[in-house]
Amino acid sequence: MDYLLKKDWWKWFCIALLTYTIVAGLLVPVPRLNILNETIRVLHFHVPMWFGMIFLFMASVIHAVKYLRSGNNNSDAFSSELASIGLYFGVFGILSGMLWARFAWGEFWSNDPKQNAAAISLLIYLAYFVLRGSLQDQQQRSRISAVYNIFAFSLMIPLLFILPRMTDSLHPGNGGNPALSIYDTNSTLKAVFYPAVIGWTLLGFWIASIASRISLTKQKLEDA
Amino acid sequence: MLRYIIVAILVLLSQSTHAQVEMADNFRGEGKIYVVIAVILIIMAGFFYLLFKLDKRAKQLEKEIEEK
Amino acid sequence: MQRIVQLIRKDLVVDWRQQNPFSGILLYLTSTIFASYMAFAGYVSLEVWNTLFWIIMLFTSVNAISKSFIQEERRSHYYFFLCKPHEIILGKLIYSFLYLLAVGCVALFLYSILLGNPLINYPLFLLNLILGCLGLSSAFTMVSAIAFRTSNRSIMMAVLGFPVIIPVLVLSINNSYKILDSFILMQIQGNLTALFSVDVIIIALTFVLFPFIWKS
Repeated sequence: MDYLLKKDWWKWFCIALLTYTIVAGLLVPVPRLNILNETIRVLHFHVPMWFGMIFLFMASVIHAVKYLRSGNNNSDAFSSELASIGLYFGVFGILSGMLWARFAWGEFWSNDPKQNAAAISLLIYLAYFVLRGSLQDQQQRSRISAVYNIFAFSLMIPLLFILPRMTDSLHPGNGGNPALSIYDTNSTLKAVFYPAVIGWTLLGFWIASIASRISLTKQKLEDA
Repeated sequence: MLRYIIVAILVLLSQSTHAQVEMADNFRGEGKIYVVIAVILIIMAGFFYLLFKLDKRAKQLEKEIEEK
Repeated sequence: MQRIVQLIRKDLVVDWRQQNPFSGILLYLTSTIFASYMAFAGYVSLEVWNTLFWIIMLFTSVNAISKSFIQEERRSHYYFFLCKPHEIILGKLIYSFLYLLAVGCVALFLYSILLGNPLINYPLFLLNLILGCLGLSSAFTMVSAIAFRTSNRSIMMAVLGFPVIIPVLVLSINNSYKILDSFILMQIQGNLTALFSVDVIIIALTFVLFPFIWKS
């Protein structure tokens, strides 16, 4: 995060990737599949929200670990700002996913393990912010919320492996749904999807870096 | 009066689709592309909301600096 | 080692002397089970029996274990000089596990009296119950240590605890349903191992992270 705050090149990279994503994501021919039809294109807009969320939360946990090891206030600011932007990504993902699910599966919410896992990870980080809000002393808040961040995130990972074993996923590419082979073989989808993931994630880091810049400045102001 | 306006609009709309000019008519003709557009709009609206919130925080910070 | 035993014994003695918390939990358990008996008697299918049992276990364990650090308020300074954080957390983990196991056995007893007893494979069900209790008790012990520092503890217990406990809960509900449905050990071995490894993860994390909370 320190590095990202200092450098600018990755922002240009992000702009290029996202421009490419929107142009190619809407124009490049996609596999023709039943039910999915054109909505297979949400792969480039909805799915990267989840990847972005996971990457942002991961970065948040890494900074939480850094905070516990060093006690540096900057790490705490990074950690909480990354988590909050990750939470926004999760909300975008869940809203856009619900809309998509309405057309692809017929219901806004249909007990899909990925949907449930997403909802749980949002709950965890909402709880994280409630916890931060309820602690007064700044040092205590940083330390205890870092502990909860690490604890909850590490328990979320087994959940991502466990839930799909309990019920079949409706998501394309799971449990006999169409598109399993297409994800593996269709290189045009991949050629847009991977840049899209990187682009949206970088956008998340960009916003998080602005947010942490604001909160760092505020901290400096209060210390002065 | 209102009725005439509506009729006029409808006539205009139907003409525009019947016109022989080449447009991306097929774009909306099939295949739930609107879902994709709605998804993109939701995400964009979300990002704009986020930007407004950040803007608000930055403004607050400005005010605090001025007060000092 | 000796210190840990002493810590456990101390908790036991405190609970024995006060009697209030433990009998409170038992009463809580009895009234919940009785309420669900009034509501569900007559049409309890296997799924409902199983899920209801675990939901009752969940709520009872939140209430039973939330006290484990909260009651320490006045003593905490004391420990700070006497024991290492590792010893304290190990003592707490063992004690709350035993405590919840006792509560769980009572719950199973009362529950099967009132709502019928479809159990066939006792050893396997108990094994799953033990693993589930281990997960519930250790996760909630950690969460109660976190909630101990906040201003509104009882709400924070639920808010912080429930998202964390879901893997344990989902696995144990699923396992015990399969056990009731007369699956044998071989068929649910994978799930039991998964449950056990989640428990191990929780305990390991608690061990690593607890000293950071205790320091403040």
